[in-house]
Amino acid sequence: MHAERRPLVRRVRRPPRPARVRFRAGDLAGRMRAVFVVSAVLLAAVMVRVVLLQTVQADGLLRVARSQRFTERILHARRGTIYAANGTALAVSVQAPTVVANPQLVLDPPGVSAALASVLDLPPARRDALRVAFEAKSKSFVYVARQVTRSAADAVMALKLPGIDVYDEPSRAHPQGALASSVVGLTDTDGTGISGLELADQAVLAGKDGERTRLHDKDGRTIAGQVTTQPSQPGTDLMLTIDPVLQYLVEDALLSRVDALKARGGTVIVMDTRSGQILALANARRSATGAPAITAGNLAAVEAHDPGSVAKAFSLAAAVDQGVVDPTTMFYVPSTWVFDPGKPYSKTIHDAEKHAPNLSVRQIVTISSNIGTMLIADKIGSQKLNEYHRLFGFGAPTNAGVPNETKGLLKPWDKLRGSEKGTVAYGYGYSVSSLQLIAAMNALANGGTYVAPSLVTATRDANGVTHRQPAPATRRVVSAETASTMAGLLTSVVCSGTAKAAQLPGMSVAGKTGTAYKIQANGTYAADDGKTRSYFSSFVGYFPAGNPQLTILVSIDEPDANSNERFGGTAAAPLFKQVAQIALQRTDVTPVDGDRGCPRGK
Amino acid sequence: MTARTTVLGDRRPRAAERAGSRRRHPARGGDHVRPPARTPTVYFFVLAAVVTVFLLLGLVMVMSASSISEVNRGRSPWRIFQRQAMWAAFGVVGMWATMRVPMHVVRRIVPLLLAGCAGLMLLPFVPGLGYAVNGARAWVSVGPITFQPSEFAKLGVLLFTAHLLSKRATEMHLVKRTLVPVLVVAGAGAGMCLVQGDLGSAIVLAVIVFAVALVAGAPLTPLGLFGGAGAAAALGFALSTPYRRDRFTAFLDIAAHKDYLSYQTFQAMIALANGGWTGQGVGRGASKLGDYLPLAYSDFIFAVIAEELGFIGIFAVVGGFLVIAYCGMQVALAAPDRFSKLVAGGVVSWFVVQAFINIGGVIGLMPVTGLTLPFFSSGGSSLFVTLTASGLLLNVAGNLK
Repeated sequence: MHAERRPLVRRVRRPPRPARVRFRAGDLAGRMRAVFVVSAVLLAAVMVRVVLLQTVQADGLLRVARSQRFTERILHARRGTIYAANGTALAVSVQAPTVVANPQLVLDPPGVSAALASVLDLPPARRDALRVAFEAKSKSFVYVARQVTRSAADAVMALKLPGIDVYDEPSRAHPQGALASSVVGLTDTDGTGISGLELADQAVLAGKDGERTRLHDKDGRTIAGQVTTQPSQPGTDLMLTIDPVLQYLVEDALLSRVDALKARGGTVIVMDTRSGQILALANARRSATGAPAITAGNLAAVEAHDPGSVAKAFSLAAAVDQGVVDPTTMFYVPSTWVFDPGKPYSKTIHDAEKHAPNLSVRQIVTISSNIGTMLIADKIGSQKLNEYHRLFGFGAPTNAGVPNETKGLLKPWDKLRGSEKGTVAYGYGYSVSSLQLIAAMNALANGGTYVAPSLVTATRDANGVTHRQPAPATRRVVSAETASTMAGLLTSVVCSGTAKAAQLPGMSVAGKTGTAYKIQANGTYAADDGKTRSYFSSFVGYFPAGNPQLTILVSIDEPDANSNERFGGTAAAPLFKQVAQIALQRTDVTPVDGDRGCPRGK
Repeated sequence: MTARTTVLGDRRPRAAERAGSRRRHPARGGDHVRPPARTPTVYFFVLAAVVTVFLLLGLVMVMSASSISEVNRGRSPWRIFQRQAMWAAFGVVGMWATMRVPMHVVRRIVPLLLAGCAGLMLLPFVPGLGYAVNGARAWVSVGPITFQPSEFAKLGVLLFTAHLLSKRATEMHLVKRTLVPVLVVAGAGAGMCLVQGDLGSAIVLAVIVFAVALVAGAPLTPLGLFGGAGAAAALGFALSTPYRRDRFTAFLDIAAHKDYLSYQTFQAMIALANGGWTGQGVGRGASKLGDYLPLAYSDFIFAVIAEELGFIGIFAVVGGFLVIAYCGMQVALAAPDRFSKLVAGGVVSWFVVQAFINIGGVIGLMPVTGLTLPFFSSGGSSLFVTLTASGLLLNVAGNLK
């Protein structure tokens, strides 16, 4: 058969055509081993790829896995409430409806955007932006309007528009309106502090947002038992030192005064002398519309000015503390003084008014003589004066908890140039914030001991536990005797000097006026015409002078330069009196004999 | 051949002769008496262990991967597992049968098997019987049973090739006598697979024939030429339509096509990364949830194994195939006859290549072809034929020289 015929044919054909057998068969064992080697190589390639995917490329893949399989929802932490000293809530978190849209589900972009704009009272630009977003359909989420009123949200939902939804998000509400907004500050729409204590204490107020993570399948079904919740931790509440009634009345008085003086702005701070607690703090500034308004930024701590004549109190206190002068020490005080006579950069200064050539220390401070104060300070020298300035807290922030607080500008004594060596004695050549200034004056009021100003009395954490703030740091600046001497000198200022308008009936007041020239755009204290100046008029005082309880700073920024009421004694002192009288109604300050006002006949 | 050509009348005298011989030499026995059992070698036990572990692990993973998607479709979570378990039972019976039947009996029915397979391969085109899955008209449904004829064709072609090349062992250098006939059969089988739209099966069919011919000692030059021609044909098929071309080239940049063309591969890679070294634990993989990874229980079961059992599981699976390859090689080297050697070599090549093509598609080494992972993927006929072929391998392993 077949198998038998084949060799026969081969025998016939092979001799003539041996080249017919062109190939040689391989060896089975060798081929089998080759098959195994190839198999091993293929499987090894698989393992290499697997290891690469599980190590080098794993992170990127796991990110994708996480994003497609898990959905996180933020559980907003309740932001801490800010309370006034009597428990009145100044800033609380509430749920506010927010209108959102999924453009991919919006059917009629022009119609829907127009309907939303009319219901929510949106400006035309916003309406057009929404229409563009709806038509693009590139996003699945846009805000329509955040934190709207409940009735507006209900009206939107009543339209039953596909792709439009409303949900609640935390929003900051101020039950007392803008009261104390200079201290409390503001949050942005997302609830993050942007000014005031809201910004300074953002970390404690915010609490910690929680998160709910759920594993879901491709169609969005949650997988049972695969939901993890990280609960949110509510923020810490703040109890402020602010007395809301006093604060309200102070704000009202400040705004009226600023308006009446056609001033750019003003500041009032009321401080408890012993504790350093700020009982009221208001900053006013003319807004773009021209009406003065309480600012949401704490200008009293953020802006620095040359303190002007108020600073004479500190130069004098330094000299008295060093024992080089007493109130009766006499000085020959010329009405004009020339620095570096004959030099190209020579500078001439005057006192505000003509006066007798021989003055006692008490007279120098009462009439607020620049040259006299300079001569007094010269007795202790620039270096010593600088040391006192630092003790009074200039050149360093008060750390009262105000964001972006300035530390002012206080040059080292050996960096003072030319006339600066003299002018620092009466308040030019360095700058301080209002908060620094009242704290410095408060050191004199407080028997010579500096106590740092504070805005927060206590915090209440998420568990409801109240933590009192530690007492602020104190340090001795001048001796108690010096402080007592200064009280007498500064009472003279009010009773017979520049600050008569600050007198209180039946209450002795100590204080110092200041009328500083503000630095102009050209870097000097007068505009290029040599005449136009702008003023920063202030009065800082305390009472009762013998046993001080309250320290009050009043400053008026740029009062009408053509008015007679542009000076510390005329612009600020009357407001001081008004504020002091309000404060007296809110506190139980009772003067004792000898502390009941100015001696008659003086 | 003698047995087939013996006329019926010759059998009785020959039987009498064998009986007489047995009476004269009782120890020698006759061929209707089982030869004395040879002690199975270590390869037999190792192979049997790997097959058992693969089968059981495969059932567990099919259960894990299929139940949730079945529930989501409103069906019993057990549905696919039950079907797989039923086919596993059939397959174990088939494996036992192929393990016990003497090899020369297998050789005797090879032409019958081949003809049967050829017939089965036509069934998908019979209206009412054949149906298409994922664009491949490669399935047959008869009553409650559905199967894929190309799976059976793989075994049929393997046996035929091994049979022909052992019969013509002395003519391996003659291309026309050996290589051409098996390639014709391979070409016909692969061609029918392509007509069904099933490129993966065509490739495996061709690779099986190629491997058996290689092991049998076919000259390398013509084998290489034919192999190259086959590869070119496969490539041509893969690039024949824009859709197939896009699918084919998508694997070159999986991340860029992760949303559509290489969606499954990218999801599988995510599963792999998510598995890490020790895996999420059986049943805890997330890829199968809501069909992040469609067909997780069949073509992409390797990804589920990777996610739930981690690197350890992958190492076990890939290592298991390597063990099969090694034991298969040793078994082929030590087998008593050429047919057994070629069957062992063919089965091993088949398993390894199909596993590589499947896993390679899953992990992005090569395009996705729609092949199952032997022993693991859900798919009745695939599991049944895989187990039957394993039985042949065990048969050879149990009867070494």
